[in-house]
Amino acid sequence: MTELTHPDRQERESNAPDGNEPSLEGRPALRGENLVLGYGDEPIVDGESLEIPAGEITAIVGPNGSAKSTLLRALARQLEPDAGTVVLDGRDVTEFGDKAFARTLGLLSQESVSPDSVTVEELIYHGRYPHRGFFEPVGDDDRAAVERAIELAGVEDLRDREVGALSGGQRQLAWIAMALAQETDVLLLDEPTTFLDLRHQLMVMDVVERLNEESKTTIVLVVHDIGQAARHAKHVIALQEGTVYARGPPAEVLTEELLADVFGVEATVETVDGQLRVLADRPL
Amino acid sequence: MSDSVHPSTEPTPETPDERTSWIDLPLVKLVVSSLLVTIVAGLIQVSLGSYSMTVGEAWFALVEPATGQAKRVLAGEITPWTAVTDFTESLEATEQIVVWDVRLPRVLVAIFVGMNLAISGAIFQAVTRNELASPFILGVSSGAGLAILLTLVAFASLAVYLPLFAAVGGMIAFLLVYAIAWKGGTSPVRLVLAGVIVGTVFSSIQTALFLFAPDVGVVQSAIQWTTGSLVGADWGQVRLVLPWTVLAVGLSLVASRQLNVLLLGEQTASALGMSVERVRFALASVAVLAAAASVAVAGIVSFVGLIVPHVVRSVVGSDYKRVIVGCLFVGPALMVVADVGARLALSPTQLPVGIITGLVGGPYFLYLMRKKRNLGDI
Repeated sequence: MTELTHPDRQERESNAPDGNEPSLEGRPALRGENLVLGYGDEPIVDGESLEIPAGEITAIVGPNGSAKSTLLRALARQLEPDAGTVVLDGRDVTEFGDKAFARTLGLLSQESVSPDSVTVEELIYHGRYPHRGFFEPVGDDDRAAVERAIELAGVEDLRDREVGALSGGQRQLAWIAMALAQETDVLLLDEPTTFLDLRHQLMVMDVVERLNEESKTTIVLVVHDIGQAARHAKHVIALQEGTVYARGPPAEVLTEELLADVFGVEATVETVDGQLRVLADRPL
Repeated sequence: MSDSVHPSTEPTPETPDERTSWIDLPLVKLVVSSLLVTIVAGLIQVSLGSYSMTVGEAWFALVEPATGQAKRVLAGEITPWTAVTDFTESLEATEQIVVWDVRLPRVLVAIFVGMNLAISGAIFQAVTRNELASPFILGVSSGAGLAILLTLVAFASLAVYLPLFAAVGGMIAFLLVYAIAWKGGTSPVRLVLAGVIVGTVFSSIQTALFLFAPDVGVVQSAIQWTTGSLVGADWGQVRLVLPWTVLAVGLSLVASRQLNVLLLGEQTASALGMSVERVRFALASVAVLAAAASVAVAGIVSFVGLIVPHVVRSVVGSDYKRVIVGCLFVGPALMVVADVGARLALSPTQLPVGIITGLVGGPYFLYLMRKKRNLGDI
């Protein structure tokens, strides 16, 4: 399988001092500095900093009301911080033009709406919006990107179906394909698996892992399911009431103490065949 | 995209040309049938009335002067320009004068008004993501109507710029409605309620203005304005509405992709790199312009901007390229038919066309309310 890269990224990699992969890893792609976030008078997040390592899957976990989605929206420039800055690839995000930003960072919101009669393929083509000028017709690069997105998300058989006629899981895969067609270096996903049946949860996470492996896309997931975070993420940020409680590799962050302190559950954390397993036993 | 493209993902050869692939069978059927309806209704409109002729005679009276002028141009007797400017003088028979000078301009104005109202409604429905939106319901028509009445009463000499004054009035009304409905975002129901409030206030002011009118004649023509009427529409009105129609139609066709992305919701649109507020404002301005142009020549014709986009969407789906094109044909068909009814139903008394569209549109609105579970969201 050829690597799914696009020219921007190839260029950046080859310009780096020591070759391909290590150049991206370890360098923070996305950073929030002293962020103060809120929707009114009282800040929900009061002066937090966090780093999203480039080329990895990062999971943001926390109970309801811990400001996971607020933080994600700030990182995606959808919510303007009251104070602090968000830095993407070394640049303050406010310096980016709207379309340039959307070519670098994509966001899939929790609730996506579309007219029912849009076909999956039409929806995915909308992902090319930031790559096209006002009068520019669809080009070969757009078609190629859409085909890659369809292949990667595994929605070939849904291509001509209307979005309104799909199941929740199929619809989510179609939306993910749209975000893939955007071809961004960073992709933020807000609870991509919530409300999906088990099979589609696994399919979605599979797409996310393949995207990360094949094109080194930096991925940030907000997830409710600690088990998913443990299984798929390389880096976990645990939030409690708007503050970063812990961060690091899953094995270090997702401990029985943290689950008790942050989530208020008694849980068993064990490693089975090198896989971290989290079993919640009862609420505390 | 360069050499990094995966072999299996190269554009498939059977991919149809994107410029035409969006034209599908339902759209073609809709366009053709609307065209037929417009032509038949238009022919009826030019044949019948106080000076009646058969449809055949009307057709002859319509075609003969045009071919006559064309022949003279081809023979080198006159330039194409004088063929147009001297056209009225070239008319000989009474039939020709009745058709060309009195009845045809009215049909043309109806066509342009239908186009404008339909695309205005279609754009408002996408911008507010609300299928109940229309220039009439959002108060834009009342705002434009008020501006026109003010202009007619106070600055009668500026009548040439009526569409512009109407656009300003419509824009003010729309911004007011948006501001009233805004509460950290808007909802379909809030927008409709705010539109009704602003529309009612503006209509009251319009009625109050009648009291200051110099004579009864002005009041009568003012009432025709506020109910929407094509009585007395002539070539002057065609010239008034044509440039703004061309502008609004062109802009809305160009903007169809932006409209499609807006339909994905504010969050997705902005995540895709759209400056949502700016695009929304620009598109609303196009819709206000289109509505204002039609209000300037026909007064406030209700419900066309609501019904037409809805009918079109139910046939061609939600893709706005198709919706806009469909509106450009269905709008005129509805307007021309309604105007035939308005002129001939109670002949010799002419009804304002707005009464006919209201009589058809009201029940359609009710039908929508009863049929749809989630009324409002597109």
